[in-house]
Amino acid sequence: MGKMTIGHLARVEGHGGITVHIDGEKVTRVDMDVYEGSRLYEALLVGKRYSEVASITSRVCGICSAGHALCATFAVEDAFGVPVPPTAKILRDLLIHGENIESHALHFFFLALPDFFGKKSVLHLQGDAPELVSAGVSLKKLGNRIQEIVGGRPVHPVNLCPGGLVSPPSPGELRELLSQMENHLDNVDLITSEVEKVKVPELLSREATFVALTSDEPDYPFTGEKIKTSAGEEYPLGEFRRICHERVVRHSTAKQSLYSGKPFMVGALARIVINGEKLGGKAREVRERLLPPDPSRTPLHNNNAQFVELVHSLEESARLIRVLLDSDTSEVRSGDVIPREGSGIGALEVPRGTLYHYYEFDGEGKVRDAEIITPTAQNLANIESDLTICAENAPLENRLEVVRRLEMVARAYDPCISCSVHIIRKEERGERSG
Amino acid sequence: MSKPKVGFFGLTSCAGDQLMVLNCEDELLKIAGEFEICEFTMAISGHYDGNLDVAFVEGIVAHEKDLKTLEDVRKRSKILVAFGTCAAYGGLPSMEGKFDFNASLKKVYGEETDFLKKLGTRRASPIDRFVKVDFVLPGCPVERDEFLITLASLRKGTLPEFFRRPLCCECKEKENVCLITEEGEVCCGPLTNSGCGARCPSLGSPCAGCRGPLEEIHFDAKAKVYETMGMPLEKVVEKMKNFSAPAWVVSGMEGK
Repeated sequence: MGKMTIGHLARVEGHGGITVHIDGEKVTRVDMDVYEGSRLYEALLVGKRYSEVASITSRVCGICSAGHALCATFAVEDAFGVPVPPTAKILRDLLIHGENIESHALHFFFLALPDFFGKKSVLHLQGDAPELVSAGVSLKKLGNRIQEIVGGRPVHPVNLCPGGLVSPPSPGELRELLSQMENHLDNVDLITSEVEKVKVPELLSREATFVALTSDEPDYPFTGEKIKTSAGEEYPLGEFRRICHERVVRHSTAKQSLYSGKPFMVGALARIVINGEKLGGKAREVRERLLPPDPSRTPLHNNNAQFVELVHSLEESARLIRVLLDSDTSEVRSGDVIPREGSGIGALEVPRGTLYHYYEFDGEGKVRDAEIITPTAQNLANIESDLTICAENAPLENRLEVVRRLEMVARAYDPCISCSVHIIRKEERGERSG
Repeated sequence: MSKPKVGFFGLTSCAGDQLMVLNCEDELLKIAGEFEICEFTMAISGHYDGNLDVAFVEGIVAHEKDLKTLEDVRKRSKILVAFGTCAAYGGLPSMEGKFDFNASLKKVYGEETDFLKKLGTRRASPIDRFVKVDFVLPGCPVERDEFLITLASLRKGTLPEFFRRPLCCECKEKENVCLITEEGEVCCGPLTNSGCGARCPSLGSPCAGCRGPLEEIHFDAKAKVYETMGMPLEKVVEKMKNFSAPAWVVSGMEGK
């Protein structure tokens, strides 16, 4: 039995590779290998005070640090019944959009786009697609600026606390953001036309299950009271383990998430499949231009789905800032937090998909148990399944072409390997690659 | 002088420091023009195994592969920079939790954990336990401005000198209210490396010590300072260890 390996997958966060197992001329299996060390956050959290949980878990991931910090804060607030003032809720939504803009711009323009032009990096793309490079750079910068102004820092936010935010941004800072957002929104049609020119290759076509949070509210949701699948089932947040049913794979070090025994996909594409009807304004137009009516057949549409969400987050952030500028924003934090024994769940759609944090606290507010389920951990089984289909269709005699295709498919998921690693420790089965 | 050859490397980490490189959006093209970026797997395809003038290394050693990469990078680099608090002081993954390493593995992976060690998993450590570190850029994440200043110096063939004071100095310059004396908060400012402009206390949140401990801490004097502020030093050290536990063991201040 032969195999083909990609040692270290470039342009993704963390350390991972791909191994294609081949029997004769037939692909038998494709593994997504993870060789990131274990950081054991869930064990380290035990005994820590509730007030430290957000700061500690934001370090699970540099790219979605605001998402982890928020999700942990939601869980603490759920456990202790902490109210959050309306202004703080709006600011937190703004932070979610800031992270979404930064992370999607990073992935769409910096990490994924070079593939479509056969280039090594965004730095090598300048000559081929100057408009896209410059839009990507400035959108990414805006996402960071939102996170800096609302979260206190572009990476690992310091302005969140149970009950709201530590300190409100000034109206001047909000106006600065609004004017940048308006400039970007004026430019959306132009950039969309450039994105439209980039053709999505037919590397695989399959049916898949998608999962995202949803809500009864009319807005396109990033938080929600229910988990919904593309098959139409809905579950309350408390039943997240039914969705993320983890399978221990004894012959490897991985646990993988399966729903009803099958892999599933989370992320921007899943959100659009499940909640896309709720998109309005420019984002709806852009969706119609960049995605087919049913975009579910290939994960490569996740790239354009991220661009659609980028436009949505721009529009939504501008709207939220207008609301903030029209209201008194001084109250961003509720009163004292009173810890009590019990448990809490936080769930949030972060750029790569649904994130769950679950904690149990003792009477003093110290963590007794912690569980973090990241989007990439949920996607892993689906990535492998898609890679297998992709490899089956690829010309195995042309190694470079196989590698190119597999990398594009894996990258489309925007995998965040560090994030997933506390529950996935996956090495190849039997022998080492990479 | 010719363009310095640089590489950015991530060991086990959150990639937040490598992300800070990409977060220099306005300067990125200029950086790519002034330096030869030979290796930066997070952002650029391709592998390079030649010599480097400067290697920026983020993260901890938590896997045999990390150690292999680190030793290889050290061998081919003139200057090795500990890039961020994880690399420099061990960071959060090296903190002392309720469980020891083996119990932590069991907590996360279940009873059978021998296979993890066979695969190369090891207890998290900062990089100076294994190789010589030429320069430290602390921070969780590193501060953008300090990174850019470092690059500017490197371009001229030298290293910058950051004057590391207690974070309190920057806090005072901002005329913030002292969170220790006024609010009774456990603030790590007096023991922590300056350079972030006292981000957290400026917002009204105590310093968590994410930039790691000052190189020379006069503990007896600090204890007195904290005592006059009504805050036991041990409580502050305990908090600081979240980000820099291994550094405290070495300093012999473990018991303080």
